[in-house]
Amino acid sequence: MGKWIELQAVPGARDRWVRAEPFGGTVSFRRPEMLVMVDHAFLGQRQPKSATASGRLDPAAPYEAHLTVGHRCTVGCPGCYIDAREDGPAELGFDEWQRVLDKLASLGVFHVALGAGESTPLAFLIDLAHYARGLGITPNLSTAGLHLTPRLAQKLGVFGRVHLSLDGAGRDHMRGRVGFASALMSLRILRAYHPRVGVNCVVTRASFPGLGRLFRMLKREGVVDVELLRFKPAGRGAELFAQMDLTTEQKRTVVQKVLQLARRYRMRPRLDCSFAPMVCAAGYDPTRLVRMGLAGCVGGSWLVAVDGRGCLSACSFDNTAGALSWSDLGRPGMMTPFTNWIDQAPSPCAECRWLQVCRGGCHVVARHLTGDFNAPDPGCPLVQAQA
Amino acid sequence: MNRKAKTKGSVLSVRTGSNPNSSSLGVDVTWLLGGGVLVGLLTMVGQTLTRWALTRAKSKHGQMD
Repeated sequence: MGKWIELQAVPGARDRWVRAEPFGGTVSFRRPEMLVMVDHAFLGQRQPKSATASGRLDPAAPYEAHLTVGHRCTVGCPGCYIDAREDGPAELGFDEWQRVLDKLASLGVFHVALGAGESTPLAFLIDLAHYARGLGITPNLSTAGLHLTPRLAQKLGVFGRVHLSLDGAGRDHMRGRVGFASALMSLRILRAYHPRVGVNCVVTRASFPGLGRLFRMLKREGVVDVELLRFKPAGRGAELFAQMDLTTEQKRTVVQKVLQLARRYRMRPRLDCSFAPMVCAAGYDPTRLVRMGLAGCVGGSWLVAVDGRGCLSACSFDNTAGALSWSDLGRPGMMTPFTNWIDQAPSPCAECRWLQVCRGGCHVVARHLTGDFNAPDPGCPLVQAQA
Repeated sequence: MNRKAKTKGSVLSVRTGSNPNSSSLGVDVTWLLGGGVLVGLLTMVGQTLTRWALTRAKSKHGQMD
């Protein structure tokens, strides 16, 4: 049995297998890949008086960090959320990224997800991933697949999981210079050399009807893991948001459609945190959603992001980045607009039975559409119904 | 039964897979298929594995925390 189960020791802490949390503890497994959150009693501990009375699963430190390693890129994706350009700003060097990883390990962060403008050599990311492994952190990678060769792909084994950005089958793919044929070739190379390869797909108004084609194509290619992301109004995406955002009807039906496709093609789709309002609006029992790990906006709580300039933010789409630096990691109260949102949730979120799960949907979308970070996500079908 | 469960504590949440995306956090929604049965099963599996692994880690490495 031990062969099939592998615990991940808390990074930065030798022989410690449970990370202490206000609600109890978190156990991370490498095999099977999962995070299990348990209460104090499960660990044989008495519930401390300071334990959160709200019952919210806010951990003591982030579970994962998103590291956007580079801002320079020649691909030119029209909706790039970091507005990466060929002449992007100066970026952190390898030594500085090592220090970022040291800091994350000292906090007990379990996973890092690396991404970069595609001018950042994959070899750089591979070296960083090795460094992360040495600290006990599991690195994952998302890439557009530019310049990917079999030789390079062989070295990607250091990553726990590698996902290729693929926004749809054929014309739905919108990644600048990386056309669909090129992306498909990269996918095949990755599949040949890595056991855990999947696809990240940004779902837009135009690509939504073609989701079935994408699932069919992925099934044919032997890919079962696909992460679907809502288009975000960040970076160059801000200008395109009005035409890329899903229609009201698409938002209302997206969850059922994805589940139908999952059943039909026997695939394992993941929906990103900004889809939480749509999952909740589909009517599932909130307790069940918490049990399976669904969480809406957990920016600054479950996750943090560090960009290529070293700016720290609650999530990669938070365009207020610049006020904080990676050296602020771990400083208490640094992400309060995100983490305290739920305590001051406005109506109709305040009365919503999914509030603790959804946490108001995507605040970046809310800020873009209403000018108010604290407003409910206008894309939530329940909010729309109230309006 | 309730008392027993209370003493043994409970699993609050199980997140399967690790997040492969460097911009947002995804969750595996296939657990929503099959009504509440799959989520119940997931919790049970998470609980069993965690108890087993923690007991094993404890005996191998002494105090865990």
